[in-house]
Amino acid sequence: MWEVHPERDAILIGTHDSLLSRALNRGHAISRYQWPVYFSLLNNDVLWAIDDTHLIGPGLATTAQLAGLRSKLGTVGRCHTIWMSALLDESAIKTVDNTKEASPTRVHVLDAMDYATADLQRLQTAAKPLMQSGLSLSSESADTYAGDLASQIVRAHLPGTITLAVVNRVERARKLYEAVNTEQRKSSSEAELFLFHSRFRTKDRHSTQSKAVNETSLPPAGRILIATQAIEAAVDISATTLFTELAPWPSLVQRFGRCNRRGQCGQGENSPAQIIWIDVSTEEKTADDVARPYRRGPLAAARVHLRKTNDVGPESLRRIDHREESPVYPVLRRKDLLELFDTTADLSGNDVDVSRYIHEPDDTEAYVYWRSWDLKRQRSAPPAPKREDGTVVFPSALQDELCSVSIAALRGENGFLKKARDLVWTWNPLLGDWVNVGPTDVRPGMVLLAHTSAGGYERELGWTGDSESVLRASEIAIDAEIIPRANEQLNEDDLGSAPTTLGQHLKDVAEQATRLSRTQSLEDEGIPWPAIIRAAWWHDIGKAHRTFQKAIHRDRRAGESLDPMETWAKSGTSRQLVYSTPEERERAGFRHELVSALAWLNKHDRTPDTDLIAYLIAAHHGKVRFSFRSMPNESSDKSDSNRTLARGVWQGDSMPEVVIENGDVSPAFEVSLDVMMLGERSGRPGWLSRCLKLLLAQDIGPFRLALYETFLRVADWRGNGVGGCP
Amino acid sequence: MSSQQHTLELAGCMPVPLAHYLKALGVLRIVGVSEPSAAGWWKHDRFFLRSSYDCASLCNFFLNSYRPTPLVAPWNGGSGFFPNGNRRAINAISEGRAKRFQPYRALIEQCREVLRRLDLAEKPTGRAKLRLLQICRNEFPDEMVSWLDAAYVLTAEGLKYPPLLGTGGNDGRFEFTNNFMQRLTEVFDGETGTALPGMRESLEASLFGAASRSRSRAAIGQFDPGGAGGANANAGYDAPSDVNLWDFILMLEGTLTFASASVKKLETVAMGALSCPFCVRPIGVGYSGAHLSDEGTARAEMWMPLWDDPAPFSTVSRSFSEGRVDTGRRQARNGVDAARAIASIGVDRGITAFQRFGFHQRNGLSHFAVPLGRFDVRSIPSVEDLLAPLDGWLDRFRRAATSKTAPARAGRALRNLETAILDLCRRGEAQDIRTVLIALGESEAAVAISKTLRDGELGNAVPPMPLLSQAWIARAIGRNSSREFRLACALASVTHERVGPMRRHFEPIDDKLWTSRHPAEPEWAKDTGDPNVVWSNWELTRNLGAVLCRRLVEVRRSCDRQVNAPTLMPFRGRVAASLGDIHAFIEGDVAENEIDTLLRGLILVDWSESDPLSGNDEGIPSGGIDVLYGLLKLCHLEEPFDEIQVKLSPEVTRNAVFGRAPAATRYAIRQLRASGMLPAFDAIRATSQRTRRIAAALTFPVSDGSKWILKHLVIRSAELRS
Repeated sequence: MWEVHPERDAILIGTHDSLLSRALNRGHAISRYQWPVYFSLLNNDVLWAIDDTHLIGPGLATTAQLAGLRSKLGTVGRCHTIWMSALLDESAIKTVDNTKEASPTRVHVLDAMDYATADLQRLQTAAKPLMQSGLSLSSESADTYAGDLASQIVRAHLPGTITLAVVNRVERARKLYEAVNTEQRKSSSEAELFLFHSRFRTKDRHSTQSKAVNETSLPPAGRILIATQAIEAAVDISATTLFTELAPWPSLVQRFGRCNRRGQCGQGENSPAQIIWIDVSTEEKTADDVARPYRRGPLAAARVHLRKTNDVGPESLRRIDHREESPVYPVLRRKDLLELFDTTADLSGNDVDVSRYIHEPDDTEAYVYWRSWDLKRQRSAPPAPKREDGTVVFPSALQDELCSVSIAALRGENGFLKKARDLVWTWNPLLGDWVNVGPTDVRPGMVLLAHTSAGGYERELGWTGDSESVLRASEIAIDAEIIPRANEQLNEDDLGSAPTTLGQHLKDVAEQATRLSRTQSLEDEGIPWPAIIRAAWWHDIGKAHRTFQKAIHRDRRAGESLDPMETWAKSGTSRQLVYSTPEERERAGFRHELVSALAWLNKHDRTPDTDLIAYLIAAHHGKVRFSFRSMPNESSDKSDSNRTLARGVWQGDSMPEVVIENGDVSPAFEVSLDVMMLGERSGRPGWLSRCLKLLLAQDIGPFRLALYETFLRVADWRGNGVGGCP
Repeated sequence: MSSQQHTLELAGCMPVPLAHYLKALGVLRIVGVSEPSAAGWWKHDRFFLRSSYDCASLCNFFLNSYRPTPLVAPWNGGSGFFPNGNRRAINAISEGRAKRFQPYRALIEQCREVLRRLDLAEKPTGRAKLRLLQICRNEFPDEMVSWLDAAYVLTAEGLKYPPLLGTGGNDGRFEFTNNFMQRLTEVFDGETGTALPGMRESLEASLFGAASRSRSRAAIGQFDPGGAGGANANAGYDAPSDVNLWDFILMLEGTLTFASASVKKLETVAMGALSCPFCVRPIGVGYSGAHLSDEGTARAEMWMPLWDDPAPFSTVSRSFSEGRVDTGRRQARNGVDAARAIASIGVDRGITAFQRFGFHQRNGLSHFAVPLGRFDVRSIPSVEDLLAPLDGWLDRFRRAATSKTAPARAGRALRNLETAILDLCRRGEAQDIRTVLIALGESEAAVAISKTLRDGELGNAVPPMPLLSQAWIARAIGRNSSREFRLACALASVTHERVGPMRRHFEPIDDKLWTSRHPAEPEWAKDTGDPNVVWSNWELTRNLGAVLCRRLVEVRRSCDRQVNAPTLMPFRGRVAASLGDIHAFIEGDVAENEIDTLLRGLILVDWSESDPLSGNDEGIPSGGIDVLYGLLKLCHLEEPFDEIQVKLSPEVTRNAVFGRAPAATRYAIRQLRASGMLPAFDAIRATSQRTRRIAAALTFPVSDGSKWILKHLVIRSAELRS
């Protein structure tokens, strides 16, 4: 809930995938309507510290560009970035918008004083003898490889120590894990065995992987850890014996760092460290597949270094001069960032993919979670999330049950989605319904719900993609932990905990906005608080629209009717509102905030901050931002098919007068959707023109605009009593 | 420049040819750079510009202050960066000192530096080219990113070229940027930057359509087929190209409007979709001279929007960059989809019309933007409801029918179908719905008859068309329906719980469709030699007779299993034919061909949703009722009526179908008597031809009211009284 408190300090720790996608306004595995909130908080008044920059591929240039663009386009508060790496190439963070001149950097390296300390001396001189395994991986040896390597590992393992084997692919890691398991049974080895890769549900990873890397609880027989490159970053473990497949040089350097990490191997009674590398074939033709996920060139380059040395301790590594033609990754440009600002959902369901700015091209991921439901239902679709009475029956994904899976494993002829036909679904917020996901539908960052019978996952092995691997019922239990907010992912509106009149709610939210403006940390930052507070006073005016009032009265249970003379903002129930007009015409997807913004524009044109306030009002749920239009599930006016409509609002709808407690009055008027048009109507500019003006304004720009938007949303949440702020 | 606003009509900028459309956008873009509030719109086929410029000052601006956008394409062989291309213009610009070319000089220098860094002395190919393209995208100045995004798109699947700029600013042997630089040096002095003599006149001609003598023989490429010259372009055999220099310059400036938004291009688009603004795959229908073979050589179609409210360039370009056409929830893939999108949701942005262009290959290797007509935006909401459920089938059919091995009949059917859909999207009349229905029937028939299409190859099989909703009928009837349409509906609605629907006599359909308890999608029958498929290319009467006999066999066979069930005619219809319409049919007063073609479409409708036996009952027809028909119909009722339960007799049916009136009458009277009824006559004479027609008419379901009339006509009144 840190996002409810933008005025407080917060430290966030995350993977480059999750944080960079959020900083690009396309947060992976979170509701699209939350994207702008994270975008704003990660790009204003922020210090980014990025570790192991040489491992994040295109992500590195993206962090540099974001730093440069933040300083060019302007932010609230100051923003700094620290890049940390054992192999940092300074030129890699000098990009078109982050030039030496525009954003000078200071370089911090260890100096002589640092090197003089005993601890560092020990680490620097730690011995890591290197030898090549007799095994090598090629398309011919692929079948027997896991078994052969397993017996080498079990033989080389020393009791009381950790043996780490790093292979390049999850699938191979899994096979190796099973082979070592078999081998151990044969040789009655009692060493603990763990599998470590990134394709686990968060909760499984936490429970088993924290044990795997805990060196204090090492049993006498020691431990064998089978891992993928997931071990390369941010895992503090020191193995005595390290097996590694050939990998690009920067990856190998990281892997070597996991052996004799504390410099204590070979000291006193400790066994000496040993590193065994396994060649991976890079010959023409068949080798591409074996080399995956890497390219053959970098592997061949790394092999040259390995063949020339018999130790890879820090001192030895320093003597190796590694140069390679760095790949050219796509660089995030100003134009791209400005385009990413708009989060309007695409009608054809194509969600924007920013992964080219985050990952290597073939390294994109989607997220899968497993549940069980009655497949005899219509279309065998998962149940609707809520019952009629508003109780949650099928909560959306909880963060810790998500498992990241590579897109490649899902797509294609042999992909998981092909095998699991009709068993994998995703929630489409625009339709408010589950949609079946086929092999061609999956997109990076998508959250997929799989029926347990589709298989693909085992608690011990993580993602297998195999239909034989099925989670047991106890492993997917969803119990009392479920809170109503668990369905926030499904993008519903908060209807409050008690009935609230519109007047009261506007006052509550305006008060929260005012309180936020007086927070010390947010003063003196040039934030246009009067505009934000004014927007707060107006933000829910559209709820006076009779479609909304009708829906909110219908929402009450029998015998609990709301006073029909009042205008209500919150029903206090958690049911989904059903919108229809007094004539009982359906108004699917009615958005009150659009009416609020139109009401504001009806009364105010050309006054300072008109457009800013209109935008903030419209964007306060993240659902109506840069563009709005009619949706495919909206039914039109049968008597006039050319009548314009958008998000449940029709041209010519009548709005009653609303008197606001701050003295403003929104007079009764007929709703005009003319702003939706490309060009201006009656001398009044279109919505898109107004938004673009804010986006391109020197004193606003994308980062500040998103933050102002977030402030109003925070005030609204707090006005509803969310996040412990009554 | 004054603060006063002027509205100028740019008569030289029209929606057609494409070059002039782009020119209008080019003017708006250039003026918009210095004056963001400048706005443009289309009215009466002219472009209007509102800005602080009047005619004279606008010309002065272009002649004196305009700084050309530095369009470069260092990845093209003919770009001027490599030895083999024409380097005159690029050298003139980079070596000159004209202030207006300063950004150009800087970018040319930057390109040369990049080429040096990458060690490229000639046009790169393969990976080297991708690397160069990515570096340009990464390092070029912000203002130039739009140009690159208009010229090429680097996607996860590889390099893609939006069709507007050929293949990355090159079309065949025509390099756009080099020509742009050449035209610039013909308009401006490279050294001083001043406009050369005659250029004001040609600028006025370009903008305001004033007559001008100063045209050039330079090439214009694909954007203006009329000006491109070539054989028969003019009086005489071979005309040189005839181009206003400014037209070319402003036109290329306008192409930047179509920069693909990164937001959109990063999507992994579904198969068959292009991710460029307003671009769809070409289809060879909907314009005069259309032919499916155009599809093979055409690069794409673009649907250029025309709007009539003033809009600034930033808004136009933003809308365009995201300007994809969606039909319902999917992205438009081809021209038919685009038309559908416009019919359903085109009104949202106040776009009044789309001008359709196809990039067709003519004159050898070059492409030309051929205008393919105008689509006015009007909301025809029902189109999507009707067509969206068929999307999957239509895609499959299109893929199969355009493949090399497809039978010619399928290609014709596809063309008719797409033409019909386009017309429906334009007008939305009941007649258009009927035409689409007929075309659907024709397409389905083309698939059903071809094993190649039914079975397909590599997963390309085309299944039977899914059932069409009742809305098709409601919309197809319109204000007045024809006799043929009513009769065809009645026939199409015939079904029976065991014998199945009418559709099974047209194509081999698996009986799950009507025997399964759950609603099922139609599938092809496993046994393709299904004896129930009796419909063929004979005349309607003969086909109906065959259906009658076949259903008789089927129902008797199915009744054998249920011993006690009375054998009745399996002709339960959801829609009744009126006696008047039936009379007209018997008299030969209907267009039988029309019933036949309509029927092929109507059998695809899911009649189970319709109200049983609705409408069409108008009492005793003025022309009277044929007694023989009455007699025979009473022997062919689908359920007991008013105590009449006449057992089905094959002799009656067979003799009627073969046109033997006396025999049919004899057997019919015997059957009626056996059921305790005395017909009012002993023998009825009719020609063989007429008897066959009457037999065919037995297939039309009739209402209870009609049955009552028939009963009174045929049975002696004394019998009735008792």
